[in-house]
Parts: sequence; C-alpha cells; structure tokens
Amino acid sequence: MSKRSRACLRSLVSWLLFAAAATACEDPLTDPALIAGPRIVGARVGAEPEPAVAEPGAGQRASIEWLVLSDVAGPFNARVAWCVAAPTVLGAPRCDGAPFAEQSAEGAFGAPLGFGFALPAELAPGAAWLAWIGICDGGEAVFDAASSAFTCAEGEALSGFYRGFVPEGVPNRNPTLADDTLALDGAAWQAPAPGTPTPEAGEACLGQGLPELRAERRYSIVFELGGDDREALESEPGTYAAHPRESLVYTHLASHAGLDRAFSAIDYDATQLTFEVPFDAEQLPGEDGETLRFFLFVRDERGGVDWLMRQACLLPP
Amino acid sequence: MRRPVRCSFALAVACPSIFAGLVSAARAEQTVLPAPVEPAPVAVEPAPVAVEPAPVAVEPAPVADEDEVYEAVAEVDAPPRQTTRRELDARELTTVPGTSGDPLKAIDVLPGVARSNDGDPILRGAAQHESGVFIDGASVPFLYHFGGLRSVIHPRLVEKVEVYPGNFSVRYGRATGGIVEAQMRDPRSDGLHGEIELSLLDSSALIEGPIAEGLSFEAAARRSNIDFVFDNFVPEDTFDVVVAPLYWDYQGAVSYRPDDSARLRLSFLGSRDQTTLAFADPSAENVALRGSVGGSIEFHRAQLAYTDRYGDVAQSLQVYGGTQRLEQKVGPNSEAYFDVVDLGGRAEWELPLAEELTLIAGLDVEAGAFTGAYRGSAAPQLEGGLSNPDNARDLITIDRTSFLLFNPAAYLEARYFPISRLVIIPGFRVDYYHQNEAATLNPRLGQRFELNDVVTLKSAIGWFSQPPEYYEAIPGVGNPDIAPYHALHVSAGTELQVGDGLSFDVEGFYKSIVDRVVSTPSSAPPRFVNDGKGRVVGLEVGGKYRSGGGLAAQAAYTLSRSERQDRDEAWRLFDRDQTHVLSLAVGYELGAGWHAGARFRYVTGNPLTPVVGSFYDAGADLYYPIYGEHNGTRDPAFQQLDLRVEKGFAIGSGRLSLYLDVQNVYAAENAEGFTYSYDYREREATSGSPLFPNLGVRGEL
Repeated sequence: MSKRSRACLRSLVSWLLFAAAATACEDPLTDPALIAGPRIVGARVGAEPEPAVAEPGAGQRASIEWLVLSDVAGPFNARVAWCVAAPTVLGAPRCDGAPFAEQSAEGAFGAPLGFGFALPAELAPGAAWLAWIGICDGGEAVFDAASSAFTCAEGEALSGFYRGFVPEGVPNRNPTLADDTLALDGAAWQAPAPGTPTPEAGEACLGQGLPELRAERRYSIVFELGGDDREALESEPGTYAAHPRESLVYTHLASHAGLDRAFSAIDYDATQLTFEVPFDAEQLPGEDGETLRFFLFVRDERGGVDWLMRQACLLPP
Repeated sequence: MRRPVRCSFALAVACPSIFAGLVSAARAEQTVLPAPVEPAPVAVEPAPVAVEPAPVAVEPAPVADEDEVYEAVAEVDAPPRQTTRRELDARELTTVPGTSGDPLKAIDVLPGVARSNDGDPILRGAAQHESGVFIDGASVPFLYHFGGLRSVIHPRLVEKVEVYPGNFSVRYGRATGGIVEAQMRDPRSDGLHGEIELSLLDSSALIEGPIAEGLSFEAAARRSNIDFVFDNFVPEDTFDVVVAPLYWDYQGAVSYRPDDSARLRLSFLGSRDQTTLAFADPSAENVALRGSVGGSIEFHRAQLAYTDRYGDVAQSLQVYGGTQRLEQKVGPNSEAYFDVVDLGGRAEWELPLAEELTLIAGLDVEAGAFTGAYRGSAAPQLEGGLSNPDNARDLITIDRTSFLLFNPAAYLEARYFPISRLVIIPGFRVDYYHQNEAATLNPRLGQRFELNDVVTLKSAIGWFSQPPEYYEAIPGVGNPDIAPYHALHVSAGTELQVGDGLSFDVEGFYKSIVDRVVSTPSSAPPRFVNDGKGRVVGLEVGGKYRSGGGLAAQAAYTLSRSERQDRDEAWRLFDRDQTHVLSLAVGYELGAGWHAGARFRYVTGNPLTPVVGSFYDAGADLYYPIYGEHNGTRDPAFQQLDLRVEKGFAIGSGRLSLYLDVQNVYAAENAEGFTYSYDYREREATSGSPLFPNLGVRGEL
C-alpha cells in the first residue's frame, strides 16, 4: 500500500473509530523528510573544555553550532541571541529580560555555523536559558526579547531556538553517531573521504564515486546503534512512569523526496537497537544523475544532539 | 501533521496533551462526553403550568405500530421547577435522522443547544465542561462512547431527555452552563419482551418483563462491531493493531411498585471504551506518536431510588455508587491511570403548605475517592487554551496520588401561585466544596404567567456556581487556592400554544460569568487563577407541529454571541461561539409500517485562531505556531442533511424493523479547522463527517 493511500485509510479508520474529523486525502502537505527550502534543522551545544557535555554550568563557556539547510546552496546572514528563559511548562519558551549576548555572522546552507558564549554566573541549577537564531531573506534579523521573536525589514524571519538547562546533577552528554553504523542497501554508507569533492545537493554526480541509487527502485537505509548512548536517568525509586534511561529520537532528511518517513526512535525500553527507513525516489533525475544528500540527527530528548551527512548519486532507472 | 486543534477527544489517543480531557472524563462530578454529529427532531416541550402535582398514569411513548398496545406507565410532568425545559420523548429520540436511533445524540437541535463536534453539549454559549449531564438524577462520568460515537445507554431504555439550557432549578448545581438529564423508563410488565438489533456500528440485545406482581426487570447490553470491521476490511499494514477498538455497555434495572404512589428501583449501568494501536515506527508526521498508543475508560454504577408519598408529602431518595477506571498511554512520554470510587445521593421532599404554596427541600451529595498518576504535558486551559506541541522537555509528573472530593449541597425551593395562572419559583442552594475549602450560595428566581390559553410569559434570574476541575487544584500541577466561579443567568420569553398541534417558544437570555478559571501565561506557577470573565447574549426560537395524520415537524433557531476575557487580555469569542444555529426536522408515518424522516442543520462555523508563523525548537525538533488574533476567524458554516427510512413488519407477536440512517446525504465538506504541515507554513482544511449510511435490523418480541 502506498504512503498516501495508507495515510488516507488511517484517517478514514480514525474517523470511524473516534468520531474525529477526517483528514482530507488530497495532495499531501510538505513532506517533513524533504529539504525543500531554507530550514533550521539542528543545534548542538558543547561545554568547554569538554564538548561532549551538552549542559554547561552557570558561568561556564560553551559553544553552539547551528545547522541550516536549503534546497539551494549559498550564504545567509544570521543574527543570534542568548537570554535567560522565563518559567514555562506549556507553550513556547520566552526570554525573561534582555539578551545577555547577541551576535551576527554569515553562514552557508549545509555547513555548521558556530558561536562561543558564556552562561551568566548567577543562574541557579535547573534554570533554563535560550539561544536564538534569526535569518532574513535579505538584510539582518532584529531580535525583540519581549516577544521573543525576530523581525525582518521584509518578509518573515526564519527563526529557531535551543533551550538549555543549568545541570542540577550529572550534566547531560551529547549522543554521538560516530560509533554507530549506517548502511545503504546492505553496504556501509560512509562519509566522503577527506579531500573527496562533495557536490552540492541536486548537482550532477555521475562518475564522482558516490554510492549509486537507481530511480524507481526501493532502497533500504538501515541504522544500527553501536555504543549505547542512552544515558541513565536519575529519579526517585518507584516514580510513576519514570524512564531508567534516555530514549533516542532520530530525524532523517533528504534533498530528494522519497524517504518513507522523517522520524525513527530507539526508546528507553527498546532491545532492538536498529531501524530501517525505506527510500524510493519520487522524481526521475537527469541523465547525469542528481546528488542526494541525506542527513541523520539524533536527539536524546534532553538537549543532547548529534548529526551526520551522507551522499549518494541518484541515477535514472 | 501536527494539528493545532484542541485536545478534546475523550480517549485522546491521537492527542498527547490530554490531561484535561482525561481527568475530566474521570472526575466524579458531572462530566459529559456528548455527541458530535447528529441531532434530531425535537420537542420544544415547554414546562407546563400545571397546578396538580400528583403523578398520573398515562400511556407512554411506544416505538411501534399504532395497533400495538403498551402497558408501561409513565408519570405526567410535575409542575415547573424552572421556566424553560425542553424535552424529547422516546419516539422522537429514536427516529431522528442522522443519529442511528441514538436518543442522546438528538439534543443538539433543541433551541439553545449549539453544534458539538466532540461530544459534550454546548448550552447557551457555555463551555462543555460547564454543563451537567445526569441519568436518573445521578451525574455520570461520560455519556458517549469514543467522545460522541454512541451514547452509553440502550436507546430503547430511555424514556425522555430533558434539557435545561439555563436558569435551571436549585435541584441542580455545580454547573454554570445548563443541564441535560436522561430518564430511564420502567420495565414493561405486560409479559416477557426482547429485542435484538444489528447495525454496522454495534449489536445490542434487550430483555424485560414481569417477575411478580408489581415487580419487573429489564436488562440490555451492547457491543461495538468495529473490531469485526477492522479485522475483516482494514488492510493489515494500515495499523499494527494489537487490540482493535472496542466499546460495550450494559444496563439493568429491577423496579418494584408496591402501590400507586411508591416505587423502588435498583438499576445498574456500565460502559467501557478501549483501543490500542502499536506503531512499528513513529508516525510519519509526529514523533510523539510511536510505540503503544491507546487507552481505556470504564465505569460501573449502581443506583437505588425510592419514591413515596406520605400524605401530602412526596419523598424521593436516591443513592448511587460505582467505580471508574481510566488508563492511557501515548508513546513513551505520556501515560496516565485513574481509579475513582464515587458515591452520591439525593433526597428531596415536596411539601404542599397551602393550595397556592409548595415547598421543596433537598440534599445533593457527590463524593469521590481518587487514586491516580500522570506523566505528560501540563494541562492547558480547558476553554480558550491554544494548542502547542507536546515537548518531551516539558513533561510533568503526578506521582501516584490520592485525594477525596466531597461536595455536599442543600437547597430549598418554593412554588407559589399568587393567582391561578401565575407561578413564582424562588429558591436557593448552598454548596460546599471540600477540595477548595469553599462554599457558595446560589439564589434563583423564576416565574411563568399564563396570560391566556395561548400565551405564556416567562422570566428568570439566578446565580450559579461551579468548582474548578479537580486537577486545577492539585498542588504541583494546579493551584490549591483556586476558587469556584460563578455565572449570572437572566432570561425572558414567551410560549405560544396555537391549537392542539402547533407551539412556539421564544426566549432571550444573557449570562455574565465571573472568576473563570484560566491559565497563567505559559502555565507558570501557580498555573491556574480565577482571572477570567465571560458574557453571553442570545435569542432562541423553537417551533413544533404535530398533525393527527402522522406528521411531526420541528424547527429550532438560536442567535447568540458568547465571549470570554482571559486575565487582562482583550475580549475574544468563546471557542464554540456559533452565531446562527438552525435545525429543521420532519418525520412522517407513511403507513404500512413505513416511517421516513429528514433533518437539516445550518450552523455558523466555529471560531479559529489563525496561525501566522512558526519557530523551530532545535533541541526537540518541533515547531511552535505563532498565533494571530485569538479566535479571530471562523470555519466555514456547517450544513448537513440527514435522512432516515424505517420499515417495520409484524411477524406473529413480534416485529422486525429494517432501517437505513444516512448521515450527511449530500456529502457536505464541512471544514473543521485545518491540518498544518510540520512547520505550520502550509495548511489544508480538515473535513467533518463524511456521508455515512448506517444500515440496521431490529427484531422485537
């Protein structure tokens, strides 16, 4: 059964079962697994001097790397800001007062954009802080702490935030994908060797030495967790529904439509430490092929993040 | 796709932020989970200005051929205890097109009842949790399976449904909206009878009859057929179904009438909804929907009622008790269970002091012992809360907690006829709320004046109070200092009786709500405060026609505007404000066992808050919507035509009926909000109920 017909049937069955409103079975909305335009996709924080630690303490220096993707290559202007977060348990976080740091920089789609910062020393354990990024189509974004929003001279800002917490106990660590295994159709899918040319997404790729995919064929992308990154979680013994360790949530994106879904997970109670994502290209590439970029992100639901990028060459059938 | 719509679905299996829905479904107080889609031809039965309070035996509403004889007994309406009562009898209740014969889904075509698309009744612009629902005087945890699919009681056991859209008697409390009360009928005593009904939705059976002189029984049970449909018609890779969705319910009663004035009735009622889906992978659009997604909600209730008359004093005593159990799990990050033992009772004495004055005194007690736990997102404001994604970093936990609810009340009401055509109904009610350590005093006053045989004038004013939802007062997740809130109801109108078959009812109303419970910004502690207001104004028009030739027609129209103010924000529309609610229904006995009916509804679309942008949470990989003006736009108007055809065959002493009940005959789209893309930058309208034919067969003996 196709993705679309399955979604339609799910909606219909859901309506019948739950008297809920049915989702229309018309053209689907934007596929979250497709990189279809400028899009902030991740941020990774590392404390100094140990970047594997995702939770810097009060007064500690740290770095944050933003990743912004687009379907076209090119530069962008980013405005970033840091502020202390107001108490929030529901809804979008907001700044509590003026930013404690602001900065501007030029970045490039597809390349991490890094900044250094230091948390205020007076933050109490458990306090939340926010790092913001705003990108305008032209010109520089302006951050308003009161509304916790960016504005552009023209159009709407592309904006995002990362929320961190001052650790109350053992600080959280970033999960790492380096010791995990990614396979494309049964073969290890490696990062390009250093010095190898890396064509941009959508560029011709025939003969560039990338793994080859043929359109109108279904491929299997298989991930296998190597070192178990699911850190133990502290909770009072017997706490209701407490998880003994983290769950890992994965986001997979591609520059060409065809991934079966955008999300996978290896939950705290999972014993099978692997998942598969089918890929079936939805459009035909040109005769010289089309470079496919595949991004995989892992998040530990506590602010720990890592990501990787792989490439393949999509060829006509 | 993430849907910024409210998490109001009862089991909320598709909606992780369900705490409010779950706990309110489990609460021991009046809670309703009424019908979304289908209303009915209705009787705008005005409260009669009868003077004689004594019950009178009459022929009840049969559901059969005109040549059938029923021996069951009902009682004539007592004199009024509120100025406006709207009522549906058994025949009307079970033949309304679009309801598949479900009596409790018929109420939302009455004047003052707005269209509800997720179960609970919306009475005179009140939020759904602000109205009470009762079965035989006792509040019920939920009234509908799966948030409105079917009611939890067998249609053939319902004698009538009464709706008090506002200014209700002091007999009822703990509600600032209105009241819906279903009354079950007594078992038949003219021999053993049975009934079996099969339809696409469910199968049911009923049996009733005499046990001894004055003693009779009835028992009914129903089970959904959805799992059968699932197993046989849904392809396997649509869901990984571990346990197919299922509902069932049962009812039973033993009634004893030792003499004409006394009645002892022991009744039972129970219901369960359950479903479990197991996703092999996370939902394609929402990572929170992964693993096991499902839950169950169940209740059992026993009720003992006794009515008698000692000289001129009529006495009514009632106790009930039962259990509720709720379990729910939505992926790894949302989980809850609740066990409730509830106990309640009523006692009422009606004492005629003089020919023109009757006093009614009563006690009304509700109590519940709660045990439960919850892990998931914080509860949003019940009405007016804007939807936000569930963020795994904002989970709250209520770790196995127990607490008691104890809400006793006493009331006194008078019925005073200074002249024969005028009745004045003053009353007051005192409530105590143990959890909130608060008491309220509700004075109410109504009058009906029969100007002549055609025109009756009526008016009422009253003060109504309601406690917060219980979780809003739990330390840690709510505010222990939260207090009850209040509403002033004012109404005036007229009823016209034109000949034997035609009647009209016109009534204007105004409500002012104060001290509403609202969330703090971002739900920061103390999370809930009494800092909201509300105002509702409207006009209801109802008309009803019954010919001697088997034609019955019903029209209802409500014009209203309902607004709310949260904290110091600007006034906004109520979430379910519906300016125009029009319902037309007609039924006709064609003869030879044929009955046909049609119903048409036109309703202004519900308010919507537009999404004007979004921003991305890079740590959680989700988008937060940026909202425009709160309830600043609306869905398109709702319109729907339903048809029903039934053919009955007499077979020996029994009867076989076939029916086809078609909902949304011309497949109107009826958009209900929008479905948004993952980043809220694209949207598409979400359609309401599709054309749905329900074919059924019913055999009766």
